[in-house]
Amino acid sequence: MNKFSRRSFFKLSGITAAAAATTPLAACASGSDIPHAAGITGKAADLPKAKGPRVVVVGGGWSGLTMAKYLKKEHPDFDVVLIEKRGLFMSCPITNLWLADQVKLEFLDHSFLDAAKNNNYIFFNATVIDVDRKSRKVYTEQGYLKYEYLVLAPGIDYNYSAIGVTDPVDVNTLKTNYPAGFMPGSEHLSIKNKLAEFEGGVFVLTVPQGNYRCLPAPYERTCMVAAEFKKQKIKGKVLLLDGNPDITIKKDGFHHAFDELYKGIVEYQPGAIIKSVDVAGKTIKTEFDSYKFDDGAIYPRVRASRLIETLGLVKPDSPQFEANIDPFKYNVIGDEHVYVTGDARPMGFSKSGNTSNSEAHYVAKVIAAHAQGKEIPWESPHTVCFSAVMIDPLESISVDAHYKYNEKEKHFGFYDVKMVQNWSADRGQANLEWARGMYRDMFS
Amino acid sequence: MERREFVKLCMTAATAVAAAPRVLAETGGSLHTHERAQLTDRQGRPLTAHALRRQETYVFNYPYASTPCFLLRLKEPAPDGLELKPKEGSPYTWPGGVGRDHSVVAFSAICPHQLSFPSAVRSVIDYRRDKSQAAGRAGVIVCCAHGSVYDPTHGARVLGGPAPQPLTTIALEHDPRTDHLYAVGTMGIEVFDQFFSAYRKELNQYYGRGAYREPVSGKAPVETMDRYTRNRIHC
Repeated sequence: MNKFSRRSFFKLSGITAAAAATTPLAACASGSDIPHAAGITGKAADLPKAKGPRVVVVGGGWSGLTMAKYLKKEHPDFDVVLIEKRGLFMSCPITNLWLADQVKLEFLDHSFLDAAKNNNYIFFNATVIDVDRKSRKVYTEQGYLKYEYLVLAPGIDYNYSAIGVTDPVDVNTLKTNYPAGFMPGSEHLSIKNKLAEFEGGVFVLTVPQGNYRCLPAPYERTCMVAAEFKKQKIKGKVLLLDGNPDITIKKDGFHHAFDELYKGIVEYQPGAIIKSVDVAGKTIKTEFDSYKFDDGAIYPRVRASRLIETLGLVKPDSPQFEANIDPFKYNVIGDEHVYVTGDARPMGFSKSGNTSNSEAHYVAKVIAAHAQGKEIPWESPHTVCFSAVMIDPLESISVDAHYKYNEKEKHFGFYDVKMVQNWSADRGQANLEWARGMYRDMFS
Repeated sequence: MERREFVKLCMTAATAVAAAPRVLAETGGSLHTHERAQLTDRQGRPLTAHALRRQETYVFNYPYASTPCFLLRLKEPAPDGLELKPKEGSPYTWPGGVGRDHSVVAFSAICPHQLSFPSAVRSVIDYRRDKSQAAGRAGVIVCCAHGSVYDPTHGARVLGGPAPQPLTTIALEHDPRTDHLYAVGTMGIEVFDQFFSAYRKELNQYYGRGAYREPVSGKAPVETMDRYTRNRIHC
């Protein structure tokens, strides 16, 4: 959205005249029918003055946090601001292990303030509502920021209509009662509470189609939930409905775990493409079957954060509404001052923590080079992904992979893949140290 | 103390500072001098190079009270003169192994990728005399957290994984008359500041407030890895 207007802002940000009408005092004071929002758009955010070319990073996930730190390291002249709407970081990787009590919540939670303090950038706890690329301004609910470079790392949103749930009442009930648990915070806490309260029956988990966040994670979660069932002697089963014909990654390891460790507990149904969910009747319908459940976590299809769509940056042919960027340099096509990284990218890389972290290391260098009139060669993201399959002791399997561009088919494929599918306690410990290292890289 | 044969790096404690210019010239200006410490056993008795078991992982803390280093007596002599080029930072010439057969080497055990290190509780980084599945070979130092692989026979250069630079070399001095070993400094990129910053909370708890960054001087006791850590994690 190059052309920014008050009208489009209100339309997109969802602030309506009705909302404004609930604030009569401000309305009287300004004489406007939309007083608060108008005041916000006209005012600069209350932040220290930029000491160099300002780079604004939107999104404090694995991509944005790494980006903010390494932009500053690569080009110390940059004045970096990280905008994030949450006040507390909670890691999505390792949450499955936490569900099975293998780590404490403290392991997952980290302070945005520490990250900013240790790495010499500004943390701005705000929500982005719009961008004017022409005047290079990012609008938040607390005023605007001017930028020289903008990096959007807003992550994912869920697409419930893709599993046949379109009525806003049903979508809301589904989100509230059976949260997917791939956007950390309340969703994960609710799933943990469900496990603590579950007394028996069918606990359903689902795997979406498409490039969803963390390909092995739903299978790892199945193992961790099943391990809890075993440990707590819960009479029930974990029903895993997979929209894909089979497990895509670490397939042998997960199949062995289902068969050897969780026989009679895990029921795996591949090719189960969800057509609709009857929330009140607790029934999932696929093309040929219907499945009753007692509780669970329903993972719908994944799409890029709605912010990408709001800003008019969706790649025309992207089924997941991902951003239209140069696949090697990550800038929005036609704009070398705006970049999109992390899970909102359209390239078929794994939507996982290590991938986003390594990608951000590279893109920080791309932007630093651009600021100095230089270019650097492309570097592949690096996917290192451990999956826990057993607890007490924690045992994991893993994959390590890079990517290579296929000129003919015009897409990226896995390259230099090392798969370890025999679980071990050593790998379980390495799994935890992998995460600690990543947190150190983002927060220390 | 008389002048010793060794090493491009050597000098006695008393002359270490005076020796620095010569050492710097020979190593491309890349020796970072630290306090000199004699490697000893747990009881503080001087360690001899020939008493080290080949391909056993030994650990000592240097140049600070909390920063562990690997000490290895390799199967083969480790040749000197290798030029190492970190992705960021100055190149340096690795001095090779010390001891009568030039097979004793030492490196900081802090992985420069994301700072995993051997603690009393566990270590995901270790030297592997047998074959590492992740590295696909034996005789390497492997960090299982993110898969970085280092070659101790060649200055702990990076053989694989995301590490941006070799493990920091610990510069050793060897007295050929007594066969004693001394740590005198480091070469390559130091990551101690990042290490302290990342683990300040844990280090203060373990060593006492501020004690973790005390320089090691005089003696540096060496332990086997099996004694140093409760859980050696291999991959």
